Amino acid sequence: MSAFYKIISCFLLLALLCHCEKKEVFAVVDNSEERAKFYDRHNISAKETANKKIAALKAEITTETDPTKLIEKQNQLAMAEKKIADGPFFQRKEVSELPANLQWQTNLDDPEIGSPEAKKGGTYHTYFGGLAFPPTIRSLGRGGNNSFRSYHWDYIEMGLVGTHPNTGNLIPSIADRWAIAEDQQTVFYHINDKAKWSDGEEVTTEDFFMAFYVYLSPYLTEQWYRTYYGDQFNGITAYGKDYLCVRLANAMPRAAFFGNLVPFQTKFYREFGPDFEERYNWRPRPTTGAYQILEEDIKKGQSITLSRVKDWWAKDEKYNRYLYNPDRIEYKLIRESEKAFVHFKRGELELYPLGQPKFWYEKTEIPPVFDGYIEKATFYNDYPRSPYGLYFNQAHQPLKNRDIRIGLQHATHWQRVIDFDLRGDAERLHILNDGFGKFSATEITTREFSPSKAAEAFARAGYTIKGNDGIWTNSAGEKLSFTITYPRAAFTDTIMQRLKEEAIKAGVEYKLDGLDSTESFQKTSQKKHEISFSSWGITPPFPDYFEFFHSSDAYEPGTTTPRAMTNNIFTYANKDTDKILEANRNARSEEEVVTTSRQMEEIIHNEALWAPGFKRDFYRHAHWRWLRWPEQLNVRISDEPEMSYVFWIDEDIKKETLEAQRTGQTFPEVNRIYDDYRVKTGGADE
Amino acid sequence: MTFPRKIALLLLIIVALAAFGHYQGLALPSLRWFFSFEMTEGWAEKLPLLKNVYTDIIGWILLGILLVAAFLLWIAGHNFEWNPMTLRRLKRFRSLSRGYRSFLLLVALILITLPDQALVGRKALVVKYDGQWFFPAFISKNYNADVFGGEANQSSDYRELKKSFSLKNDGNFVVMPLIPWDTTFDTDELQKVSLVNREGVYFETDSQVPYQGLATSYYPTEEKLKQREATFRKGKLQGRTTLFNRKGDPVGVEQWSDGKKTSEKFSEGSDATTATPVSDDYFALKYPPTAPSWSQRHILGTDSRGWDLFAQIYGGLQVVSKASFLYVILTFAIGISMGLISGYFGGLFDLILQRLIEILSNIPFLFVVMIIASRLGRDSVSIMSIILVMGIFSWIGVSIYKRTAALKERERDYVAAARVLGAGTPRIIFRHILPNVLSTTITLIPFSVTAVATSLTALDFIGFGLPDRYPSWGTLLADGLANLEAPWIVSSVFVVLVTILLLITFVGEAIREAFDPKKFTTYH
Repeated sequence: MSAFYKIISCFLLLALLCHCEKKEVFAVVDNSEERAKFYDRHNISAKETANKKIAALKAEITTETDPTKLIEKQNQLAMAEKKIADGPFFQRKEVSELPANLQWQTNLDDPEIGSPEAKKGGTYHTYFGGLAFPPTIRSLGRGGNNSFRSYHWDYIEMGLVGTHPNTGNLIPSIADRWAIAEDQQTVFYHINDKAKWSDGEEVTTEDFFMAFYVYLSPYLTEQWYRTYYGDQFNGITAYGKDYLCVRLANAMPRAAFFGNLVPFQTKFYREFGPDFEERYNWRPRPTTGAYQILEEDIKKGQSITLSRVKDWWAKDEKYNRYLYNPDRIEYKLIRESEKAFVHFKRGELELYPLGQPKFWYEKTEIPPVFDGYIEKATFYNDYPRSPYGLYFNQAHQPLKNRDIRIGLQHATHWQRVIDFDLRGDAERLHILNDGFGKFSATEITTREFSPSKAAEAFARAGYTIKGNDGIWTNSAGEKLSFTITYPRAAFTDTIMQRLKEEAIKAGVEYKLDGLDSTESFQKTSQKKHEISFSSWGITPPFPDYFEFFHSSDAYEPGTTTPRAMTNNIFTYANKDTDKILEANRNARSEEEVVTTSRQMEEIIHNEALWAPGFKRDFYRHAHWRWLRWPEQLNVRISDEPEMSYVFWIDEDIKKETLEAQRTGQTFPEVNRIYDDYRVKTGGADE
Repeated sequence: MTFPRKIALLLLIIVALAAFGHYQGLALPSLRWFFSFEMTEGWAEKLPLLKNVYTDIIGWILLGILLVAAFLLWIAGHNFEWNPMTLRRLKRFRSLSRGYRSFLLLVALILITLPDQALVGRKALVVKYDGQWFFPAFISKNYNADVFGGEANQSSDYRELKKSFSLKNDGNFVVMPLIPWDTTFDTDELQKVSLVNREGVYFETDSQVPYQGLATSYYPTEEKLKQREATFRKGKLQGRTTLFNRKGDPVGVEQWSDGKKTSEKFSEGSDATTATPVSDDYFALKYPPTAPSWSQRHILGTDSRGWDLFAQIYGGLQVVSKASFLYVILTFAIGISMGLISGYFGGLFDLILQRLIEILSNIPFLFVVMIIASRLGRDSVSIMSIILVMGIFSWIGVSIYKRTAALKERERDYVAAARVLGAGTPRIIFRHILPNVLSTTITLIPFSVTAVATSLTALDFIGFGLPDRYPSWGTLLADGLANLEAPWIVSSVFVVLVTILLLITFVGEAIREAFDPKKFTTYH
């Protein structure tokens, strides 16, 4: 008995400790002085680095004999020289010094986003998509890039310019006008005079200097920001408080998009220092966007609620008028998606995503759906498709052989997976970067499952003997057996088993190496896999090929050891392809991106570098009928229902629905398909 | 003929048949197992020369062991007589009817696993094609489909072949096993249940309840080309239907309400819909798990992957019986020898062995299995490696009993007498002591078998057991729990597992009672 009491008292003590957890108090500091020094110091060091690079390149160019490398180095030299010519990284000038002949753009001609019928108000209830409580509400620093970040930072915070989610054009955001200089790499922005932080402070150019100060700071855990913002930018210039000039390192199509920056409020980040990660862990941030997190709305281990900013400065701007409608958005902690579904059925959550066939077809065949209280919707979007497929690693000797790779494409029965396990709710993927509009080579059709065509290809590679187990072998007795490394889950297990079952029919043995997702990612990025089943999120506007195929990322220089921790998980290296890749990355016009992207997709197809799997060109969900949507449900460029904030809560309909549920009154069943933005399947016409 | 000689003869027959079958390229039920071992990839890289002969070597070694065992039994059994005490025990065992019947049932179950692919499998038992006879199930090599008039380079699908032969009805025929499914990696085609239109309301063929759910219609002459996708509510078309052209692109949309079309819209330039009449024959597609059905030959239904449940349960029983056989031999061989030797000698040897046992018994078995599974890669784990790992840990239990018994027995007069007569140590241990301590050992066997069955199931349940090419009860249990709306999965595995464990336990209790030196026991 005494042990029992001990345990009870321990729990009580623990509960007590948790309850009176003290708020950490940090001494107030001001980094203005340190910051000023940093800007000067960085100006000098950036110049020194550039000068050193110029000297080194000049020396190399005199001895370089390889003409392609020579061109590459000359380009690099030109880039470095431009950096010097642009002057110091951080510059401050007067408004009068602005170049005179700038062509200002505003783009107020695109259609409005959302519905004029939208009503403001109400609370939208949902749950943390990662099924865990976020470790911090910082947007950066250790743990900052968690699955909740999108909902309080990426989708909320405003940049200088935005992208219209239906037309894809640039639209004003914090900047009300912008201008691109003739060099296609210097962009000028004018900050909207109305632009205000949620605490009433004005948005000034100083806030963008602060952003660079944070990004380039050694106090951040992530190296990525230092590299990206140090290398891809030649610097920024403030012309007074309202005009900002961003200088990119390369000339780019859509320079105004790539020069886009998100401001960091000077007042809020003035305590930014070595203890940033602890100090700012749970500190609510003032925002320029529509929603902010109030201190009292952070209930650790339970929920975080976003509140609409009172008198948000942009609430009447053309493209924001009908967005961000609910007063509050509550994110609850629910640790299992099955449990979240129960909450949803009780009406405690407004929306539930129904990607998995089992949920869509079976678990939502329930009375509230038949009676019209819960509505179902499928929305065809136009967004880069995650490239699910089998990635062949050429560091594994047999996969160096193109015929074997072609045979494997013919032996991998993705269509069966689509018809059977995905219940026809997906489509065959033909290319690596699908869903990029004109940049995607939709005329390419990947190779179909065909045991006889596979046999032909394998025969060319010398695999002509069929063993008793039905697997092809060559004269040396080597079997066509490959291990697939994949992140283990009930769903992926089924898919891999299906591929394995079908591959046997084509004389190929797939061994399944299902690992924990981090372990599988590790193994793949260290290039220790033979074949990997992977996918990743890719984002508009341009496809990227360089990091996946460039030879510099394939092997450690001068060796045959695959280079670990790069995205070239194909371990593919080809000098001719490298040229296309470089042209693709350094393209100065969209046409160049189109042609080089298509060339790349053709190479990927001809060389059979992977076995493209499937894609989903829609998302679908169920929602209670008081959650209302515009006529077309959502915006074209979106990959989940909530990210566009076009929905609203109708309190009258909510009352009506709850009343109807009580009295047994029913509504017509609603199951809508929105295919206004449905794009062609892809693959050539027969 | 004495009992050991009968066993020896049986072993000889097994060896002869297995060797003959392998030599002739036959796949004899159950006997093919001896030559089914393959070298794992890691070893294949280290010993490339052995790679191609590995299967043969392991097979011949196993047969060699059986041959030696048969030889020894033959020699030892030349004037074998049952110990009267043993006869009395066996008689007593037979008189304990619950245990004895359980024993007979178990034996019957194990005998049922022996016909192997002749009972459960996707390969046809007999095919008669163009006057020629084939026996695909009993031949190691695979026939390609072109042998029976199909496509080249495609393996034959005998279930399809049977259908097409019976349609043509030209003297060709196929005889399939009773359960025409492999134990793993054999998915049925999607099942289409046609809907019947009874006065404007659609029903599933044998159902009296109006159909609710999705249905598909196909182009009139092509049974695989989807033409329309529709939703039914209370047996009537409701909401939106989508029409597809022959390339599978969506070209038109219709709206229905209560079985009546309210609107239709075709995308511009679509030719397909007006040219071909739209079929009104709807089919409900049944995705796995599918319910038990005799006509589809899924007598227990399928799991969520679409694999037949009966085949998997049958295969699981085969795995469990083989595993327990190997496990019992391994554990008891090590356990008995270690225990007897350490008890008989005592002293330093005993001291060291006991410390080793203490260390071993403190290593968590589960972690070792997990580490090994992740080192080898799950697909390279085989039943042998799992049994070996289990064996390494479980001989300890047996050896402790034997050590105690040997400590007691070595002081007895008959041991001293044997020593005086000049018997060597091995002879004393295995000829004199062993028979006298055997009864406690035999009572342990049934419980070891239960341990194997439950450990294998549990390991598969948590996902660290045998790879998916082995049929497994644990995987099925996990699948059944994840799909409780398909109760046939979890209920059939549960019933089989509980029955087997119960039978073994009954046998175990009966053996313990029969071998108990005290005939009557009173409990206080």
